[in-house]
Amino acid sequence: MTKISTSDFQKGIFIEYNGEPHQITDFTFVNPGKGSAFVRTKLKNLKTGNVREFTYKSGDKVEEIPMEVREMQYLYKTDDKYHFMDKFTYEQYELKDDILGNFANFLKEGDIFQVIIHSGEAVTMRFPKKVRLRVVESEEAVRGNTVMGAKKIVTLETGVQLTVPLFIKTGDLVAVDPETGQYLERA
Amino acid sequence: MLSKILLHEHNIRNIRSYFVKEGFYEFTLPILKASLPLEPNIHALKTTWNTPKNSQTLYLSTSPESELKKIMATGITTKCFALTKSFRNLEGSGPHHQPEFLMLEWYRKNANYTKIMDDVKKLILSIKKSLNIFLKKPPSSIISLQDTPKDFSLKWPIISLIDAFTKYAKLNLTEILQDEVLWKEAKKKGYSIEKQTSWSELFDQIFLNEILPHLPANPFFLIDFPARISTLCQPRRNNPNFAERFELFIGRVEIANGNTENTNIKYVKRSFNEEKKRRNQTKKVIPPIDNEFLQALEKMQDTTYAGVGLGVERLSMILSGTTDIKKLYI
Repeated sequence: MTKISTSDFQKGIFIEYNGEPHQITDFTFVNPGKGSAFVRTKLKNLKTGNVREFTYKSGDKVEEIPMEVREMQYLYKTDDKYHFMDKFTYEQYELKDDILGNFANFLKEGDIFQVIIHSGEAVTMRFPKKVRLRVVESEEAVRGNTVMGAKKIVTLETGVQLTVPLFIKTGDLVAVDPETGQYLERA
Repeated sequence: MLSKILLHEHNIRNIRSYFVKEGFYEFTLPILKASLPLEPNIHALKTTWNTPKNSQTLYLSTSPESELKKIMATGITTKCFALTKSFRNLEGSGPHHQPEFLMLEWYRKNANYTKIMDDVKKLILSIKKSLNIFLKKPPSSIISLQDTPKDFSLKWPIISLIDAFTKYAKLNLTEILQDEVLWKEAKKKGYSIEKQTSWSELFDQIFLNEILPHLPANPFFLIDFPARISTLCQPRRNNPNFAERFELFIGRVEIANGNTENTNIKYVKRSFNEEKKRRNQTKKVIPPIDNEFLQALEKMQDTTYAGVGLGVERLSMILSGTTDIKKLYI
């Protein structure tokens, strides 16, 4: 474990808070008037999944928890659990749907992802900034603001719906930002 | 996005006409300054003015306060205001914070901070009213605050930090005014204390973590700021450990900071020198102390006067329901 300061904070890193491992899911700078700088962070407890806020003084030091990152193949889903397999050891790991959040809509069976392990358990994953999925169904109707460019709704191979430009056809591969669920480009 | 920008410009015009109607004189003040008042945690952006003869270090104004006070000291008016860009260094940018911002400040002679609190509420209600007319909406003092409607014309409570610390942080604010007591209590609560941690940082940290989340999202005035972190404020006569100072919060964001002004020049000079010593230790920029400002304070020493600084972008954000300050700029 190494000590880092608030200036090293990044979204997604793991630190110790109240003696337990937490992930920084977001942070912002706060400056009370005539006061010094603070860093308000959103911390997700890896064990309980609870999210809480804590405001650090700028320059406060915290323990960074190193995590192991392993490449795993997404296998399938049961109830609220998503099952992954380590490519090299064939061991299976699970992630619950509250950890994956919206990203669960973009998980394609068989694809490889970077899963983060701590103490022998999968705790979360590195969400790629872009995922490539195939369009399996597209409607004929036109929607939206024609000034910005006409759009339509399509269904992707994972079952999720996406708003895309008119020229996208069934069978096309599209790139999507899984965090916002927005179309990026034709892949 | 364009509509938020127009709304902001509209608010600026209305703020100006409100003060003109109320009999305040507007002053357009220098932004490049050779010297500044030296307040803790307020750092200036520095630049160099090069002429064929020499070069001079200049600082971007951190607030119109010192210039407006110099004007008050001339006696030319008893009510003045400025609507001007101010600049702060060493502060991270955030959804409510940028290094350059529009500051509204006004001062009244023969008034104290309670009069200024009245001014603040009257001003904001007036701006809201003008906005309704501009947006062709019916007259209403309802504002959507964090997705719930709030009636701004209802009472804005005055909350004492002394009470808030007792109720939410379970601390006696008068006792923790002493360094050792605050350090002990903060450690007990698990706050980290680094080598450079100051009293005001710990105080603010406890406030941000344990008190502010419990305070209303509706507008309220916070009072009873410790005098030790309110160097230009008049201490309370019946309790000089605390200052005649208030902050207005809307949506749990600080919008305005005002006070009865401290005219005790010895006290202010001493605070400036203490801050100079602190900055020498931390190697932060030390602009020359503005002596004309100290002289102006001396001229005002037999009067009671009060003023306030209000962040205009933040006010526009509240009135337009914007959550990111950058959406107000092109």
